[in-house]
Amino acid sequence: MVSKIALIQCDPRLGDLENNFEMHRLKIAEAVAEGADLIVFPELSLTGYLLQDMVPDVSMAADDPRLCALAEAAGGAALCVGGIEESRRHAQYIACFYFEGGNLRHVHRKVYLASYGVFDEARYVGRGDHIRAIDSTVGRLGLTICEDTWHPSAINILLLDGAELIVVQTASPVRELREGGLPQNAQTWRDTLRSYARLYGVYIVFVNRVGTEDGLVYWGQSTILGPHGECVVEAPLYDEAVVYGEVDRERVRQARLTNPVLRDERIDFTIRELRRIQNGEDQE
Amino acid sequence: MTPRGTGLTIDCAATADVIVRALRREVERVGFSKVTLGLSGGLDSAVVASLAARAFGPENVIPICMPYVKSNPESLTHGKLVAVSLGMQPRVEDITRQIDLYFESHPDANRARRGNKMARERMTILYDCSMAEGALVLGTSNKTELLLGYSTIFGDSAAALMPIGDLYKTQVFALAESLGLPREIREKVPSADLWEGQSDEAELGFLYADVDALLLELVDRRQRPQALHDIGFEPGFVEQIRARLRQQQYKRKMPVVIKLSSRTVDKDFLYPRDWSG
Repeated sequence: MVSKIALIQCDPRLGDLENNFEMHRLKIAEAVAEGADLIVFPELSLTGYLLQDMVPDVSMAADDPRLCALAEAAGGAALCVGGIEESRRHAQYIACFYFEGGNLRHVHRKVYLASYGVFDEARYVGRGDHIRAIDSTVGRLGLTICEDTWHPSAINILLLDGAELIVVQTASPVRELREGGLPQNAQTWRDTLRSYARLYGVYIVFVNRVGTEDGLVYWGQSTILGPHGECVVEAPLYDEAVVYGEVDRERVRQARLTNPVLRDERIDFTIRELRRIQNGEDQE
Repeated sequence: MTPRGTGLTIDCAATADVIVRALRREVERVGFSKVTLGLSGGLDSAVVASLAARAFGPENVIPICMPYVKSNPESLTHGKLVAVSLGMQPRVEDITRQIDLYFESHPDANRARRGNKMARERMTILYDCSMAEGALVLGTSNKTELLLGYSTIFGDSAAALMPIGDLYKTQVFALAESLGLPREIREKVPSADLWEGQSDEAELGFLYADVDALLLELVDRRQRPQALHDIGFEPGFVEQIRARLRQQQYKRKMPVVIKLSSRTVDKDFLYPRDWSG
């Protein structure tokens, strides 16, 4: 089965929901017209990233009618958008809202908050407590948000849960722009994602934003990496763009026949050893 | 002997590209289409003027040369040279009258007080231009200056945006060359020109190349002092710079507000600058 994915490398306006919802409507219409099966926006695409005390002002319930309207605009296409979710207990989370056929199918709350360097997420939002793969129209799907992806344990859980395709939403700013012209962290992202894709035979759909906020410059370069580590499509550095790439589940099968890492994973063994480490027991 | 030359090399084209993009965005976001800056005739302001010209077109950059009667005449000549080479019309605002008028009542003021007063006078001229012309004030401080506090607080440190504030002085030199700035500007001895014969490196007591190498290790790489001694930095120099980093912190912060209420500006009333944009 081949699916067409739209990567929306956009520049949300910080704290301006009205403007950003309109931007989403336009981009969704464009991607639908191009025949996309899945449309992916970056992290916090509806709100902008550097929210600080704006968080409660831009938060929304997962069943917010404005979100539902976006999902309906996507028609038959699946849709991943980023925003601040407010729970029934009035806690806020960085969330990826996943819709299919106009209906909310899944909400992933960012599990690993970035609170170092220029990031201070844990001050403003709560951390998610679940990560799971879901069946979708484009295959079995895992969702991660930015920092989640830097924890191989989170990726490992999604893969053991059957993910064939992992969507990564990010808002990654330039850090250490050095020789070679590519920010050091962009290079690290690229290397890490390629390793995941190749090692596990999985598609990675990475969507990063562009634009600036308070001197942070988001670098974009959204990409789809195939299950052999190949680059299916890549958006430019720094500029807004909508790019499309195809994912073919048959290629996942081929990659896993060649390199059956996931088949040979030992969940019992992993859990037992993690439990031992958790309990502080000595090595034999 | 100070170790040099590791990790300070930048990709000038990529650096200029990122700064120009960010400049456009940050200026447009707050509703401005023009910028202004003080053109001292030195390297930093020349680099900022050049980047601003790329971002907005020279016609939207208002460079102001602000000489004092005792300034080195070369400063004005070089300021004008930079402006003209970038296709800009330099404005000249001589600050001698207002400075001399003030110090008539304070004849004992030393050269540091006089220099600070001049820096703050120049700041008020730039902010007046900002209001008159709808032009955002660009600062010309570099990372070395910001870290060492080598500036006049609310003088040359006052600006809306600091395009080269994350580049060490030695990196600004490299950028200046790649931007094709005139040789006279690139090869002159760095000076704030607040008094006759002033030189940055003589006043600071060390060379930019040395202090940049040390700051890179201390600030960016978070090296411990002992590790710096081990790789060849002189312990006295390391301690001098560490002390200076601490002593000058106040110049990098907004004024302290005494907390009384439930939400206090800059403490737990936290919004990005771009909230307004």
